[in-house]
Amino acid sequence: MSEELKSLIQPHIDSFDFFTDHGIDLILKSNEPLYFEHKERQYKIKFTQLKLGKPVHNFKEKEVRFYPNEAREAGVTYDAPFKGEVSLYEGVDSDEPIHKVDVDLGRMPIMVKSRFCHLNGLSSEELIEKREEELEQGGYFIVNGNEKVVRMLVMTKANHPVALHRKAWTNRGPGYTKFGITIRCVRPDRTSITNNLHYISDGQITLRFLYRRQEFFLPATLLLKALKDTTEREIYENLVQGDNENTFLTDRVELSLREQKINNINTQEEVLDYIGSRFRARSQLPSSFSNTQIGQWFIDSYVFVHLPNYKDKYNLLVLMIQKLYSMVAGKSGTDNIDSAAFHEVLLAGQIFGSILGEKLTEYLESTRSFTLKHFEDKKKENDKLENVFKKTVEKNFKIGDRFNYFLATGNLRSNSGLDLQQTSGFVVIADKLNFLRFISHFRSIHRGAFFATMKTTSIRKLMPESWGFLCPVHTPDGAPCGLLNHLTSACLVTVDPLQDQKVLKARPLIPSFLATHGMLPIDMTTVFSHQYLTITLDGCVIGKIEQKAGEELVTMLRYLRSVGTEPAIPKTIEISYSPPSSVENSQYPGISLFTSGARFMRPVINLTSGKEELIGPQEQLYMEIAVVPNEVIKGVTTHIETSPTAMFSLLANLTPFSDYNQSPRNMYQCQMAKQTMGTPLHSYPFRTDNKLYKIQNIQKPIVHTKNQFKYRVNDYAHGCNAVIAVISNTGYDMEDAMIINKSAYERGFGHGSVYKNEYIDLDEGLSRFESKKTFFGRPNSSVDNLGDFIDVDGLPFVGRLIKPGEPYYTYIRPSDGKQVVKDYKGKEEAYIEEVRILFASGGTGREPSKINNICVKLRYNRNPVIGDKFSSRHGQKGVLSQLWPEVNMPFTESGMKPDVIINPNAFPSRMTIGMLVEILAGKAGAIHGKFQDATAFQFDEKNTAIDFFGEQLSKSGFNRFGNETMYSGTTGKEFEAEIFFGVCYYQRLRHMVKDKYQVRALGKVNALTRQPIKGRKVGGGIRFGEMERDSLLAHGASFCLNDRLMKSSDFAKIKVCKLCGSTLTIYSKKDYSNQTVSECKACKSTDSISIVSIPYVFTYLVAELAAVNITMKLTVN
Amino acid sequence: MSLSVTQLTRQPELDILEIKNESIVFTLSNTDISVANALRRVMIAEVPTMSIDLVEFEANNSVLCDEFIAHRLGLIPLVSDNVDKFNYTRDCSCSERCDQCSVEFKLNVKCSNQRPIDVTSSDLIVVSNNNNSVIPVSSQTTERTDEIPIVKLRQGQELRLRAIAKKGVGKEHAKWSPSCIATYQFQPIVTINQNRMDELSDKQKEEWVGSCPTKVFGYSPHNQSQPVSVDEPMRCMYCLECKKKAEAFGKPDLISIEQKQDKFIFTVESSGSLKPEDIVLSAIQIIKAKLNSIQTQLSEGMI
Repeated sequence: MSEELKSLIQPHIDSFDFFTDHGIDLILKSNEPLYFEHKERQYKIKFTQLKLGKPVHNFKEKEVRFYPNEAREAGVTYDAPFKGEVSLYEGVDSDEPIHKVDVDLGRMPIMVKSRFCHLNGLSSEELIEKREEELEQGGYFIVNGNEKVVRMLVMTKANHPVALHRKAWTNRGPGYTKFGITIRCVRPDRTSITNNLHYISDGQITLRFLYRRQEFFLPATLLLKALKDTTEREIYENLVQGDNENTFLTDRVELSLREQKINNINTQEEVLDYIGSRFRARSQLPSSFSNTQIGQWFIDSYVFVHLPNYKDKYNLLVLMIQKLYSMVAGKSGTDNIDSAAFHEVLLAGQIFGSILGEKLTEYLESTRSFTLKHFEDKKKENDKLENVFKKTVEKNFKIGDRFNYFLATGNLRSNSGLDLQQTSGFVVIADKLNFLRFISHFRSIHRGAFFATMKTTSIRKLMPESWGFLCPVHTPDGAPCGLLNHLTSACLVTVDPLQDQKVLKARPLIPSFLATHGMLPIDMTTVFSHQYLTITLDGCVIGKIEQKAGEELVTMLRYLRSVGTEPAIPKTIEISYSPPSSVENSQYPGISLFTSGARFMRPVINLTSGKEELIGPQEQLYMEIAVVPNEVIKGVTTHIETSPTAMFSLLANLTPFSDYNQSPRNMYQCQMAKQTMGTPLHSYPFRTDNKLYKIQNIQKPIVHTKNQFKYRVNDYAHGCNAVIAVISNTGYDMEDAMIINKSAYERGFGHGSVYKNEYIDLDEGLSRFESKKTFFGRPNSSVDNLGDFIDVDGLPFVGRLIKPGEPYYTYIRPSDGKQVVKDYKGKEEAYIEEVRILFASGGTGREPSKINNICVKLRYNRNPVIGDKFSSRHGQKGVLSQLWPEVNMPFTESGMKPDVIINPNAFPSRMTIGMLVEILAGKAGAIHGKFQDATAFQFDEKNTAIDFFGEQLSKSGFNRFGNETMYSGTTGKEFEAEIFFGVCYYQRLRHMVKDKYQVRALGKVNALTRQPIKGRKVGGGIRFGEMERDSLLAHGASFCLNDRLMKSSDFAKIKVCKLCGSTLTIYSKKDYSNQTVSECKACKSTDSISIVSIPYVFTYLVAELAAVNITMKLTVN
Repeated sequence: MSLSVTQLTRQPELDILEIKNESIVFTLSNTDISVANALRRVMIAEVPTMSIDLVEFEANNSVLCDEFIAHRLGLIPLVSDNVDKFNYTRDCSCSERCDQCSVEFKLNVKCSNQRPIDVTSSDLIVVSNNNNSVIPVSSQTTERTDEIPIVKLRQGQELRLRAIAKKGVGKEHAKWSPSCIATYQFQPIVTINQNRMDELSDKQKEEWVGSCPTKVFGYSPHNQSQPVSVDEPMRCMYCLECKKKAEAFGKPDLISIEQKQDKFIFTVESSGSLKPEDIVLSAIQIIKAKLNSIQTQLSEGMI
């Protein structure tokens, strides 16, 4: 097992464990009952139990364990039974159900290697026994046989008020300004509601929330009164905090209190009653609820939902109002919501929780509506409620199916939107092209589909705040650039407090611990000082502290966090401190503590304690962290990075000497590593992926980085150490082409295979009555002469090379019992690797003699051919242009001939010095028989890599710069220039000519235009477009043009009437001698018809024009 | 420039410097690059050997696929000392193949142990009874240390196949190439300008001698009487580091390195299928045969 590898995937597993262990219970608890009236009595329905089982399936009426690989091979979903209980209550407040019904909620997909998965905790040997990889890490779901990952998504940091400017807010109503504060409030079950505070131009503030996708605004001071039984004076004092000279603030607070006052509504009770009365019509609460109850319900479920306590809500609102006024006055600036400081992660478990909550409500709603509908029928009016209820519950939809749909499509079907900004693209297939690509899926984090459509580029920019959390190198170029990022290899995502006992125990201790260290508890008094800093804990205001004491407190807290001995300060607490500053647009000062889950954290070393400490992105902004020891400034620097490469993701860290390369080349390498034909897995016989690549002669790179070992990358090698000469030799190496030594190729360089799985289901496309009647078989085996192709059971021979058009399998047609032969439709010859007999997805089993569903694994030989793509690890890709005979290759004095020749012109403009250093280091390593460490930032100006590796070369009698005298293989003469010659790790990329070539002579044509169709798959042609046409015109090649656009396209001979010039009026008729002649109906003439050659689309144009009353006339001479 | 009499009347000379089991070093002098290169090219690409060319699988449930195992079998060097006795299959009178043009091997290994086993070149057993001298190179010795692994089998896995070795040349496929390395270099002529050398200090001399990566020069700082000498001129690889150093000292004429254009030092390493000297001999035979063929064609054409 590899702990390091495990840590990369851990966030996904933790998140799903949170859902299964805590999320389901929390959702159940917070799920609201539904009310309805029947025969003038009030009823209430509610889920009272939810139970998720372990993955099992029924086999011969016994429950047996269901393992992930069974799902993979059978092409089904890895899921577990999900059951629940719905209760019916009489009366709104009743706690005693009159009836309970156990319901089957379908099957819930289970994340592989999560606590509910049978693979959890298995050793490597046991994993192999279960037909998994030795290093299987899980973290994905298996849906219909495909491995699917719920992508990490960036979310606004939970429970932290963020000050913003948004132009769009001015459209929200008259007087609305761009100023606002937004807070994403997250409940303990990780469902969230976003609240906004808006500044109105006259100085008032309103709070906005969404209810059933409609927006509502509440005046802030009114809300304050609803939250606390208080006086206007107290509200004023709370907001102003003794800063009476600040007339900007005092004027606005006074105005708000005056303007938002409603006649005779003063006490908390009255305000709640007022709010309730406004919402009564909107809410679907029973009529027996009082206005106050409704008002409370709205505040409970839509205002600051992370704080159950009204007093806490009040204090938070006060803080947010202060922050908003401070921003409007220009005392503090806006927060940058695009920076990592205000971000956290949305993971599978959280989305699952949100979906579950909503689906439970939907389930109850449909139960209610079906039940009520039943009684609308006069005949059934007197049915017993309990029985009807039971029946409707049983025929309700299955919640598990909704999860399956979500994972299969990545689409979210939701009424509320779940406080998310997108409805699709949550799930991606975890492509097992190679190990690196697979593992990268679990480290990638997307900014959100909404941002992909935005035209501004500011969100894509690399923020300094994301240093150490998001990799600056590992992002694709093109459309998703800067939106799809990858976590650094050291970055971790915190678990929910419920999953970590230490955090859970620490949380209640924090306020009292802080109070003993200088914090004044918030409920101590109403007025502190306006200069005091506010301390919040997970979005709950807990106290105030004097500035100087605050700073000391933060330093102490960080020390305690690094040491980890104080029970009140857990390791994963984030201690964010933004100091008061006179600088313009600086952040609103305060101390915010976070213990919640789903936050980014990363390790650095605390210089005071010398121990590793986890820090968050928000606090990092105001910390002094040195990268290397000699950067440490005494008295200023408090922390130091664990390593200078800590800022990189796993992939970026695998590029050797990446510090020598031009930056974009390292980005290209991160992309190309993910397109490499490598070793995705070792369990090939147990996999039925649509397409799997395998490279044959793999090696560990001689020049490696530390991460290569740490994350077991060498167990899944993806390339080969090639002897390389940088020389412009034959002309076949121009423009990024590369020459490969034919003998090297013959000895196995770059050899590989592609595996494809074809599912053949004889029931496909048949109705339910016709299915399960067709079976594979070959009854005519003695007479059909197919013995060379097909076995007696009707299935292909394993190990046989099958060519396009050859017989593939036979089956027995149920209608007449005759044998039907099907041919192999593929266009490339393949070996039959495996024939897998599949059982029906129900898993009940069928007699093996009656097979009607198989999966054939085909193996395609994919040795390098001209046009295949290769690349070094420095973003230097090239296309194989020639397999050059070994005798013609240049050779050195020692007799070495290169495997690969590349052109020196690949270097000057791209500046991949790292590649040159790699070649040098690889050469020295090959000579001395040792691996070379190429981790970035090891060398500097005084101690250069060239010296280090040049020295090694010199020692063994080679030129220190890697140059060698070479002789031409063809003439035998010595080259005048010395050639740079060494060893470089080469990857073979998956783009292969065999998958891409397109040729066409004759073929399908479009029925309407008779022009050749497009598309490689269907044998179409390549478009000869406008620009190509322009080119031929410019050359004056008119015959060539005529050939391309007419002769080889839609050449047609058309009859036209010379008299009227029409092509549409011509009909065929029989003449007196019974011969067919054409006649123009308009001119009544048969002699006037002549035949012209035109492109057939022309007739289409004529017809289209005729449709709009335009005649087209041809003048024919 | 007219050629001297010695150049006009010169005869190529061959001088063997070293013969080992796997390699030979010799000098070829009094000839041109074209001849030397022709010899080199023939040694790599045209000296015939025997190699497995056709594999028929009867059973293979190992982890490696059929093509890959077949490819590995092809690359196993076979002892080809008797290669001349075989015909090329394409020239042979037989219809498909016969003992005159091929050697048949069988391989039948099944793993029944708990521990995985290696299938190696030693498991290839000759079936043809015509000639049992064509065997994998590793089977020559009794100790099984240099066996070439083919595939590993775990319990229950089996590899059963027939392999047919044929005669061929490296031009067609690298597996038939008998030489790992066949290369030559020019003989270097290294001359030190002793007058200039005397102008250098002891420290500079030492530094200059150290600049050569292949240690061509000899100098002992303790022995003042002995000047800097050219000890191992053959090691020189024309990297011109000494020249660059001399230029750095401001004495570009301190050293001169020239190539003797008509003397070639050949190094040939065998893959094991042929003795290194046989590779050279065979190559010369092939060149001769080619010339002979031209000669006969010419004389036939003249008739």
